[in-house]
Amino acid sequence: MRTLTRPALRSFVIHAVLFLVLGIWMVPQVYMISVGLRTPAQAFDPQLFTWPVTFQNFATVIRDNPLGGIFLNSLIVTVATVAIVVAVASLFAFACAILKLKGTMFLYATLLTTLMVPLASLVLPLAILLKNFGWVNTYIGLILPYSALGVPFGMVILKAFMEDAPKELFEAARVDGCNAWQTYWHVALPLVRPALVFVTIWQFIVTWNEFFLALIVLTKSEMKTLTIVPMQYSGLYMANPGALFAVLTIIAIPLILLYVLVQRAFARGLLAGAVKG
Amino acid sequence: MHVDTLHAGRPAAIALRRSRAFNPTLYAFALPATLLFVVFIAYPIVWVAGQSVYTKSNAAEAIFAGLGNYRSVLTDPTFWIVVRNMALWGVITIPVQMLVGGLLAYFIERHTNALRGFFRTMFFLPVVTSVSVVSLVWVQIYAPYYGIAQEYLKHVGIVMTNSAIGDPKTAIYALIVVNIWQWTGFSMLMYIAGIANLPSEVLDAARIDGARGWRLAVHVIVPMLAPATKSLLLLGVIGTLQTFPIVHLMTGGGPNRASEVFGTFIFKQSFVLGDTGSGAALSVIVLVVALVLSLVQIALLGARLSPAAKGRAS
Amino acid sequence: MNKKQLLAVSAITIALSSGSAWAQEKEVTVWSWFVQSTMQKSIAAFEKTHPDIKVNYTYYNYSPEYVTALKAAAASGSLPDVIGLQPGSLTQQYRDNLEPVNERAAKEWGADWAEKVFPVNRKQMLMGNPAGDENYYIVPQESQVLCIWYNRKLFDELKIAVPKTYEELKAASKALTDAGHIPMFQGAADGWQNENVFLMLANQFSPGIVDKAQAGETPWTAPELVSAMKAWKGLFDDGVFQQGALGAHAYPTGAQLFAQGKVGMMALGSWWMQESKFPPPLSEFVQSMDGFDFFYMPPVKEGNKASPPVGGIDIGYGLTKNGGKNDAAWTFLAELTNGVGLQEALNDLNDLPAFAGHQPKGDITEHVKQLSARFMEDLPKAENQRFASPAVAEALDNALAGVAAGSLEAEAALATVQTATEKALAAK
Repeated sequence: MRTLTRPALRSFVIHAVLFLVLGIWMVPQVYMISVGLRTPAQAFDPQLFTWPVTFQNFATVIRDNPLGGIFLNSLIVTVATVAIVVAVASLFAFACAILKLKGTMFLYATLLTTLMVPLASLVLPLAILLKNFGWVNTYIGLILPYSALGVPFGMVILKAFMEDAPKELFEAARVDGCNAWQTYWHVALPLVRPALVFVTIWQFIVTWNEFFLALIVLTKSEMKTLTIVPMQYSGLYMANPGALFAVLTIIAIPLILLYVLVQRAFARGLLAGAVKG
Repeated sequence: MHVDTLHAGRPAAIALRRSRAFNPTLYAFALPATLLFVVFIAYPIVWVAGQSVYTKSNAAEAIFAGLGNYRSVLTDPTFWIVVRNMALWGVITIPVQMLVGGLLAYFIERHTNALRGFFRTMFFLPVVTSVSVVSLVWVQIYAPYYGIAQEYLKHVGIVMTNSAIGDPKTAIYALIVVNIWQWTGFSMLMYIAGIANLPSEVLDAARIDGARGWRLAVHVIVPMLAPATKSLLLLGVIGTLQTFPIVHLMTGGGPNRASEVFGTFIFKQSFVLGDTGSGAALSVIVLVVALVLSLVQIALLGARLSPAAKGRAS
Repeated sequence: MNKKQLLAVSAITIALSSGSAWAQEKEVTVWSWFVQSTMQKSIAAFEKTHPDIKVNYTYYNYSPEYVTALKAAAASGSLPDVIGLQPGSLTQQYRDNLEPVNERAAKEWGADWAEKVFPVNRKQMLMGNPAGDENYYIVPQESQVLCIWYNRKLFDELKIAVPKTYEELKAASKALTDAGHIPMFQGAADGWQNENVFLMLANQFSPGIVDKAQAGETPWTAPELVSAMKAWKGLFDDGVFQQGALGAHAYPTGAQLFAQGKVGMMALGSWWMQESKFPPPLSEFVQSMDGFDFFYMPPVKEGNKASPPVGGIDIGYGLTKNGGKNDAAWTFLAELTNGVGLQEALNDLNDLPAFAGHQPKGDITEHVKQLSARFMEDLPKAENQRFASPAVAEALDNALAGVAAGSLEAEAALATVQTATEKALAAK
């Protein structure tokens, strides 16, 4: 006897609704990939799918640019930045939320102002600063400013999650005689693992896609990151939308792959963060 | 007890929390962040503030203008259009993104299984999509006559007579829709992290108490997602004030300033008109507004303890 | 080794090392928004004739990338040797960082070199200079003439003749719309195309009036300009521009659709011809510019004549203070604007030359030759299209958008431009 049980029906309906929402949500994405596969003749045709499909745009983009070296530049800058941001932000969040050091609340609010200054205004003084340090066209000239810009975001998230963590664990650690560092490393960090994952993914995406500062700091073509590549395909008179969309798709792929890999960690967090008696 | 804490090697030379009456070495935790800030953010902010009190004509000397730049900015009608736009932007995008993101996170996390990773990824895709693509595609979607929406709406007999971003009355709303489309995945991810963090025994306890489905969601899960919500609110307000590329690429702030936001206004003042003084003054104003709003939020929301932390000493 | 030999070796070594430093490759850095592939050809041609100089070109999109990068580099004192410039506001913004080129140009091309530059270009080179400053900071490379391109194959197919009156223009637009094409594609979300069309209209009512208005000699609310503004609105209301134009961009969408034959007319300029030199695949219309021809805006009111040609400098280059210390930089600049570098750009039909006495060479069809010739005939008589003050240009952009959207009346819109002009002139 096969009756459709209530939970099964509910699950079916929920999935159906999700797919429906997804379908509409994905229209721009589908269009983006589709245009990347089109000939210039059909580039701006309003249909979502056109025929024939051509890979010429991807070939052009790959041929025109030394993508391997550029990819490496992006990777170095991004990985370094993510590492620094996660480390520095979690240390600060720990000091603020758990150690509750005097003055850290004030520092927290001050550091928050980082996020509030429009980037367009920061660009000029940063350019001057980096020139004075001699860090133009270097990796570190991007990594450090990126880290400075990314830490406040991480600190907001991690502080919120750390504050929300059950305090008994920290008490227990103190009773056990842990010093601050050990508490940080062995208690605080595992407790907020989902948040750490989140900050990692987010900082990776932000840094990978960052454009303005990379434009100013990296003026030599050997140093360029991936985000500069699309610019040549969206120029004022010489526009090749197919190639533009193709290269932007290529740039997005590593991010998506990373995200797919990393988002599984959220599930594991469910088990790791639990407090057992 | 956690095994590793039991076996904490060296005896603690530093006790936690009780003796925070000055243990300066603990400040080492806060040092790297502060250092980065001072060098790369504080200096530029001071530089910008300094610039804001000078006017620079095309000649090289800067004339001290005191608060002149601020006065001219605040009396510029465009400024108030921008304030209106930013208020609309914040008031609409933040709650909508939270609601939709939260709903998506809830249903995906708790009601899907095999497809969970798939849904998590797909709804997050717009977030990683480059703004150049987003702007081009959405301009195409909004275009009447040869646009994507028109192409499919014509099957139901709707004929668009204008582009939503070409009409001063609707431009900002059209941009808000694009923003919501792109960033809801971020709220969703935040809530996914929050849900992943929920201690399962609290949920089990509540379920045993009889709370199910809807009641469980509203009375137990939502309050426990408070840290995620607080962060989203804070970041949302700040992010709203920072909006730039999507507006610049899609409407340039037009038509006739109708969709101008702080980012585009500052860009035009500083980079197009070459008036760095008033661009800097605007930046300082944005900074102050953001700071005030954030402090208000921290003061109001920070005081509220989330239920999960009920048992702890302050 | 004896002392003499040692001395000889030392002398030779010193001579060699200083000589080798001397014969070392000189480098010139250039930033611009000029299309990369053509610029590379110019650079290659230059490096062939100057093997000891290496040119390093960085391409930027104009807005926001180029203006941002330029400003950041200027603020930190790290501008490259040569920068791409537009006459008027961009040049003025960076005037303090640029070397006046008068002397070098005279040495390079003779004392009367400025006479070889077309009059409208010469005027634009000085636009915005403070009173009494006769220095040239920008060396023009290319000129442009604004016009209305039309797809002659579509016109033939739909039996439309080149419009000679406004009524004919409206009829042509209707015929195109009814056939499912876009009549005249206007990217009204971009300020520049709106300005261009307005200039065409204004100069029709009174040639040179926009120049007088921006110099403060005529108010912007003069009747001719009001008529031009009303005619501007008419282009939207009468179905000449496509619906939703205010939300559209000329590049890349408009240009793509135009090149692919979905659009009847588009207000562009002589630079459109470069599309025929792009890498394949090219549409049947763009191939050798076979499907395209141009006309000037027909009279929009009884008693007017067709719009005169409007144009001026398309792009020029400036020598920065950094570049002033680098001899090779001027050499490159000179060749780029008036030598082998320019020739490559002309061969790619990028645009018209700014100096007289050049023409495109290479694989050019008769049709393109004729188009070029027409432009070159009109260039000497062209009216000025540029604005000295960015604030005035921006006020005009806003005014045009406001009128087109129906939120501003013509007189009120022009009054705002008048205010901006007065403010700009007072600040000088």
